[in-house]
Amino acid sequence: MPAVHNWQLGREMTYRYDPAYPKLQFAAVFNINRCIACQTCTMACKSTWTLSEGQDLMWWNNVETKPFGGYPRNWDVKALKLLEQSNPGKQTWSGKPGGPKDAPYGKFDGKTLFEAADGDQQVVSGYIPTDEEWTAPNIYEDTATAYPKQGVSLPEHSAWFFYLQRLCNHCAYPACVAACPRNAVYKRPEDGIVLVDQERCRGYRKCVEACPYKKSMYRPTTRTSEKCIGCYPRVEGSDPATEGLPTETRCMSVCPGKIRLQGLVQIGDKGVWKEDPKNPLYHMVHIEQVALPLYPQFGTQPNIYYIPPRWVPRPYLRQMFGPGVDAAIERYTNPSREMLGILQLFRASQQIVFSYELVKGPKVEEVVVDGKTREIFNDTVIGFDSKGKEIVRISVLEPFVERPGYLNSI
Amino acid sequence: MKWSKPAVLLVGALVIAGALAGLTGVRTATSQAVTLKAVAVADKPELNPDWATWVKIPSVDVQLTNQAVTYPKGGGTVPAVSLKAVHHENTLYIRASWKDQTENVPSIDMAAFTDAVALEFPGKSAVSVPSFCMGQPGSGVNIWQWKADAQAGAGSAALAKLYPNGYADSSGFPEELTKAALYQPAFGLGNPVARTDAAVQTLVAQAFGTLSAAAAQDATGAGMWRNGEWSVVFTRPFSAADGDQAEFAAGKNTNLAVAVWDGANGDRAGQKNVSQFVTLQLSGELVKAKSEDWGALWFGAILGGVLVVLGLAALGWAGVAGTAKERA
Ligand code: SF4
Ligand code: SF4
Ligand code: SF4
Repeated sequence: MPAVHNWQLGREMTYRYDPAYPKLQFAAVFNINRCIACQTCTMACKSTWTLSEGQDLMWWNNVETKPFGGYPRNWDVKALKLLEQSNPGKQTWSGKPGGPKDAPYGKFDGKTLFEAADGDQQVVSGYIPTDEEWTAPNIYEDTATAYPKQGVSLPEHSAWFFYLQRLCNHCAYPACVAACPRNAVYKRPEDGIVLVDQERCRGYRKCVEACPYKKSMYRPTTRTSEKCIGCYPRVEGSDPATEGLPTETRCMSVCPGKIRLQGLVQIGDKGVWKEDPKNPLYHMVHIEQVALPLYPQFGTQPNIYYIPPRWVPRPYLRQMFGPGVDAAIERYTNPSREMLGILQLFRASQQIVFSYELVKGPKVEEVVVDGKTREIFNDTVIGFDSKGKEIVRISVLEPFVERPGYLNSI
Repeated sequence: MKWSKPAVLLVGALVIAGALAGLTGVRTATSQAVTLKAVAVADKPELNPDWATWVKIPSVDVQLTNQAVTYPKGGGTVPAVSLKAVHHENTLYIRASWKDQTENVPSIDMAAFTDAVALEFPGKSAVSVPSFCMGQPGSGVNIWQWKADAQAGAGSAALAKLYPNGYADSSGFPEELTKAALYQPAFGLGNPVARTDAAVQTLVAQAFGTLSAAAAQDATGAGMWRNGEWSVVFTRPFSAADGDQAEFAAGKNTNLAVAVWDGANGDRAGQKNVSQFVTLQLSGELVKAKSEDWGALWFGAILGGVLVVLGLAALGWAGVAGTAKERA
């Protein structure tokens, strides 16, 4: 089997195909700390793409309450168990987070799901969830680990839950692509979006079995598998509503919690992101390392990055997002001026922001966070589209507008 | 010569097994050496595994093995398939039957797989005899695949049955819209797996992973599960509309391979039971379908009976000898 470099694991790993990378890669950062679980994202996707017969149990975007919730039921526990069974007690990391961009979180010494597979019947260790597991997508909504009499406090709450927003990760090494015996699943060279060819799919469900995130789903009425299409007509700007400009997906652009920022990042050698410090996603993932991949140990090199919830016990978060969790929470809690500026870009525009610029403003406030004094500056952040044209300009402090008095007509 | 007790037991068991095989008429042969003869029949055959004339047509057994050549490997639960063939007015009919204790006709269960069977022939335009492993570039194969779930028409109707109170927003849209490529892409794009009106798909391939729909979907079929056995009849005119498909002619030989999928075993794709190519011989002249060869059967029965007696005697002797030894 060919070897590929997985930068999220800081090492080579085996994959079914030789390395091949898109020019640009679909990616997003989700700030878990801000999600209100309104499911607007879920419904935006549902009402756009999966409203038809046979797609009844399909939720390409879903928001689940961790640690008990999961769609399909216990998907992550099951994948973690497969890894643990194939490599008991050795799913560990070495080295230190904060490393270079081809190994930013140190090195994963355990096995990926590709390495745990037998290679004969499966090239990715996996399973197919049953109908029951696909029902009740929001089971255990808002269910906490405990209900203590006293309140809870930071830095780690003793009773906790959090919302995990999920869609296809349009992985760099997609398990679904590797598993399809007839190349009906493919990754687009222009934007890395992973699609199931509905003309070629024969409903074998090898992709459903293989995807650890369970984001390839079977449609029994057409007997084919379908999955999130990354709203490619919006991303490529071919949807008439985009007026030709690369636009964020449906689930991203509707988010009232302003937790989502989606874009396209440039891919260089060995699938490592090209140096692009003015791309807000690059800045958050590689410079600040504040946003982390979901279950990097699965090995697919997923492309939705999460700012971890700062109140959740760290061992749970380290299992979910890898060893970079502690530093990420520290940087999110005490953001740099750049970071605070970038956070304003979340949901400030429907068009994809390809680069940003920070214009420094005056110091406006001093706040105490975790016993540390922090200064807030009213900087202004400007977002540019793919052609370098300004599409958004927003300041850290929301402008205060006093409405002139008027006579109420009632 | 002194025989040890285990050796005698083994010989006895083998003799009995052989005799029983003789009695049940199983003809074991390596796949390659098998010839399936398609005789011409005067009456138009029915597309029905129970068509009365089938009992008069001799069968051949083709051994199947697990598919162990390419990913995804699998199968191994169906050891053999029994084949019969006839032709009538330039149309070929092939009947395949195999033992399967479970009837798997999943309707909409996402984790369940269907029972299925496929016949594979060299494509008409093949420049040489193709590999029975899905052909090779330039020498493709033509595959007719029958699936239990497709025959059941599983789909919308099955969905409504399983979830009677289920509701899909699109149900309110006019039929031409919901059946269109936009809402049912696989169906709208003509992917044969999405069809609910045909149990058999006509396919072509030129290597692993290249299986695709033939331009003309002209093979048809019907299957039935009864008492732990599937029986499926396929038919297609000798000539097909497109050149990638197989071509048949009375008096000519061609090749045939079989694959069986056991849904209960999670079989699909390459996870299947496969044969190698066997010879398919289409008889030139019209022959009256012969009744079973009673002479051969009587011979088999008598020989089998004698062998059972011999085997039992051997087992008995071993038992007596053992007891005697213990006493000594
Ligand atoms: S729309 Fe935004 S805030 Fe609402 S559930 Fe989705 S991600 Fe969370
Ligand atoms: S998340 Fe799953 S379906 Fe999406 S690209 Fe990765 S492996 Fe494929
Ligand atoms: S990117 Fe588009 S298709 Fe994918 S989950 Fe979001 S809305 Fe659905």
